[in-house]
Amino acid sequence: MSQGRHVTMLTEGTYPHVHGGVSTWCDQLIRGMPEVGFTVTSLTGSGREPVTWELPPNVRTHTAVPLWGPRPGRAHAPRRGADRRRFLHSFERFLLSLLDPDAHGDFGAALDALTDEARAGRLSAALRTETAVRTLMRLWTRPSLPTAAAGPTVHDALTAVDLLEHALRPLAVRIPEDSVAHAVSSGLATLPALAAQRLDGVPFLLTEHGIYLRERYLGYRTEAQRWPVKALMLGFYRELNTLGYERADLITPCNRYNRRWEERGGALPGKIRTVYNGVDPHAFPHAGAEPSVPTLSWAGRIDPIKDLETLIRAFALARAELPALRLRLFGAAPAGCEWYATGLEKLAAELGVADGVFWEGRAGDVARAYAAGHVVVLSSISEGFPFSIIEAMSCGRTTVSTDVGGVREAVGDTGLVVPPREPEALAAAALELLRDDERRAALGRRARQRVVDLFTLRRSVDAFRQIYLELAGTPGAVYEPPAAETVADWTLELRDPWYQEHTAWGHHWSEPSEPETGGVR
Amino acid sequence: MSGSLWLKDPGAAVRDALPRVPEKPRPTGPAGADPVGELADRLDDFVAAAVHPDEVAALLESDGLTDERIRRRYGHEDSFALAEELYARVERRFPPSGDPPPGPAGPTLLVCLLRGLLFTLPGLGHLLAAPVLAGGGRTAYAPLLAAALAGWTWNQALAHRAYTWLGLGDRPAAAGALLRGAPVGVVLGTAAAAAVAPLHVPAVLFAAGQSLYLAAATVLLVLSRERVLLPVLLPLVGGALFAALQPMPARAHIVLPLVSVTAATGAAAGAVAGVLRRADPGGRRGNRRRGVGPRGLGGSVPYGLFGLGSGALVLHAALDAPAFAVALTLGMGPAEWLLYRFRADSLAGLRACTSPGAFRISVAAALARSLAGYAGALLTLMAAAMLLWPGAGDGPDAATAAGVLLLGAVLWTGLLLQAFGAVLSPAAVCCAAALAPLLLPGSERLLVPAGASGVLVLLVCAQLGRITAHR
Repeated sequence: MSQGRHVTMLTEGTYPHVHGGVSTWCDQLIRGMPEVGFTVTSLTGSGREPVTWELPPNVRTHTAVPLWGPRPGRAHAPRRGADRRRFLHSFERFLLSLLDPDAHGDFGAALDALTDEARAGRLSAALRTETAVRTLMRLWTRPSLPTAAAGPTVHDALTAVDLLEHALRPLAVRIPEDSVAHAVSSGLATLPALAAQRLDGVPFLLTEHGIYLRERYLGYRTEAQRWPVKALMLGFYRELNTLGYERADLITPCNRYNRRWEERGGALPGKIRTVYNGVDPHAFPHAGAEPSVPTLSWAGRIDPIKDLETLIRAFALARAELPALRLRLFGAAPAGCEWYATGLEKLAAELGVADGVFWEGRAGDVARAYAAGHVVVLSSISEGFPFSIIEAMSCGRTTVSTDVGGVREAVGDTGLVVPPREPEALAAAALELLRDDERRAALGRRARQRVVDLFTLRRSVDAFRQIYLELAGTPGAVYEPPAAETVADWTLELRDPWYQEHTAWGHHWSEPSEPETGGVR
Repeated sequence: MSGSLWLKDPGAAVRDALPRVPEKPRPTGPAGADPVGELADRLDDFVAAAVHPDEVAALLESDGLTDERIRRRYGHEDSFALAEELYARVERRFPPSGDPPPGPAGPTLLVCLLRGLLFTLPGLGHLLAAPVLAGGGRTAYAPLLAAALAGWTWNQALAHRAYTWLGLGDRPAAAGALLRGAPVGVVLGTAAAAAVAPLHVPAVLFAAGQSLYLAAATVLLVLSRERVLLPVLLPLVGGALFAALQPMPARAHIVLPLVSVTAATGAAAGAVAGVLRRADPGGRRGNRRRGVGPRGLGGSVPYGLFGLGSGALVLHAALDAPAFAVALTLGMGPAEWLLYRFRADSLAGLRACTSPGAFRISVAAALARSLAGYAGALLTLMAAAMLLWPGAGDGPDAATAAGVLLLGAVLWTGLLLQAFGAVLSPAAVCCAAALAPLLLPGSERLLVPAGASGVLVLLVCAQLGRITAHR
């Protein structure tokens, strides 16, 4: 047993390869616990992604598991009849659990059987065989299954089995038996933890920042794949997500909003404990005086999920009212998203506001980015518990952000929250704050106080230290969220008069508010 | 957001824009009688193609619908409940497959024909040098043939290794492999010539030049710079044309090929240096990750053997009927084009067939179409070569022509299998076919090509009829 002194952190596409909220969180957690040794296992794409974070000294090892790198395991599929039959039987059950809405309960057992194949080094080779593709072809054309109506082709079968082969590669990854497995997202990163939990008795902790499944659904809409492939792969993600919720020893979302999807996915409420992200108020001190020119500031990755299109449209609307207004964007487009940045620059030019939008690149000192604005804005369509908001709050800046994920819980009554994808609402809220110096200053003061009270890094790290001890079976160690201090009453907070006044449905800038009595309900 | 490692080949475009829901009409008054119905109409296309109610919920949330708003406007508890009703109301529709994503566009027929010409033109060097090499009679060609075979074998293997690096996205490593491998090919070719006729110094020197050209052409082909070869070959072409009209000084017969070889070598060296310089400004060689490279050198050996076997078969034919050998070489142009056509055909079959059996039949049909097209092209070229070749008046007999045609089929099916990564079988078949005449003298004209092409056609049907061959 680890006594909570050794943790295997499992990431997918984040730490330590790219910058962003989840990576920042991982880095803070590891650095905050120098007495705990970390083994970092990161799922990556090709395996050629550079490590962009400097690994703290208490990271014992870091292993990248490339999903699209050279195929792991044995070169050839098992030729022995018994091995082949056992694999095909498991694979068939696995596929049916994804394809047949009535076979839902079978996924866990089927995945366990495939885990044994993966540990023996046989899974990838077996999934590359003609028989594997033919098995899927035979199953999903069964008239009783919903996929049959979509007319799956052999190309669909080939694509789907290949995608599954890549997606299941993490099953073969071994993690140290004396550690606590900490998956920092749902989905593929939980595969090694699920295997180790069942076979080696390793405790399994699951943290979710965004909603993995929701992002898969949104991401898949624009994939070129046909319906049968999409249905199968999203079925896989859904079942895997559910299994993770079911088997994790503890689930620690970073906001209470995530619970909706987690409970929907079958997570027992008793296993869910919210641990908010934290920020170090000394690293993000009060920003001081505001700039001389009216400025909106934004910090983050330039990525479609941040919906900067809405932000730029909102900026154009606000600028029409306030011609001196500037928008400063701090952040860079990660590899592969350059096209998005280019499209945004074009949009700014089309709207005639290119001269007011400043692309600042990645800020060395992020606090400077928040200080650069009168108001810090966030336009994302999906968020967990965004650092850019609590950091801006720590700097004593008020915020205008979209109502996604844990944003409301973070902001509380210290900024304005508007519906996502509504440039008019974003613009109106920003103008409202820009025009009222006194209110802006008051909100900024309250924002910093809220961070100091509720969202400090120390509090966040202490919670996980306690959770690791508890999971490792240390007697007496149980993490209980301090009820009095956390925003347990966040729903109340959201209904306070101020919120009613400014949120989407209560305000003129979105849709006409229906009379309380005459509404649908 | 959580880690967003979209499960798709990162080599392709990494991420697409998030979905944009249709513009919502601004509600102007109280909600209509059936707000859920209105919403269902607006989101019809999305909901019809959804795979699960939760997908609809995800879309609703990303569109800015919060639970509170849903309760007030639609009378459902939350986005999940509303999504379930929408999912139940809208009948599933499966979007038509549409156009397949544009695959790697194959070269046009004209480009392929030009490439065929590119493979053939260097032969003019032999024509130019003939007076210099004469003296040994037919034996003078033996060292050149030996050098060609050795070079062909080595360069096929080398090209495979470099292509593997390119496939892994590591261009500098490919250039490095070419830089180390190409000179070895030159040495091997020259050594082979020297071994055959150590005393025939002009032939050995010419073989050295020929090997140098082969190595340079391999480098340029792998790095997709083969277009440079056209100007490089100009002195050779000009000289050959001039020599056909009136006699040239003996020196020109040597200098002109030498100019072409030197230019090709320079261009190849430049191409390699360009790649290395661009990728390696600070000498970052040391930190390239190990273990992501091609597995060992052994994987390239079968490609070399295929080169050796097919090269020997072509040389057999070239000695018997040089005009047909020219036709075969020129025919590599259409052959290459047909390889792309076959791939496109089989991909279309993959997307159209709904059972493994139907797919196997569609592959056989694509093979028949391609072979027929190739036979037609080759026949045309052979007829043209017969007409133009000086002194081919009496011409080879029908059996020889049929043998060359079948040999073409052997080469094409061998290349086809190789293009699909099945290289061991065509290598074995070609090498066996090249050796067969030693056991069965006289079989090389018709029997060997017929047998080999028959075996390869069966192999194509068996191996490429499998779905997994088309990843």
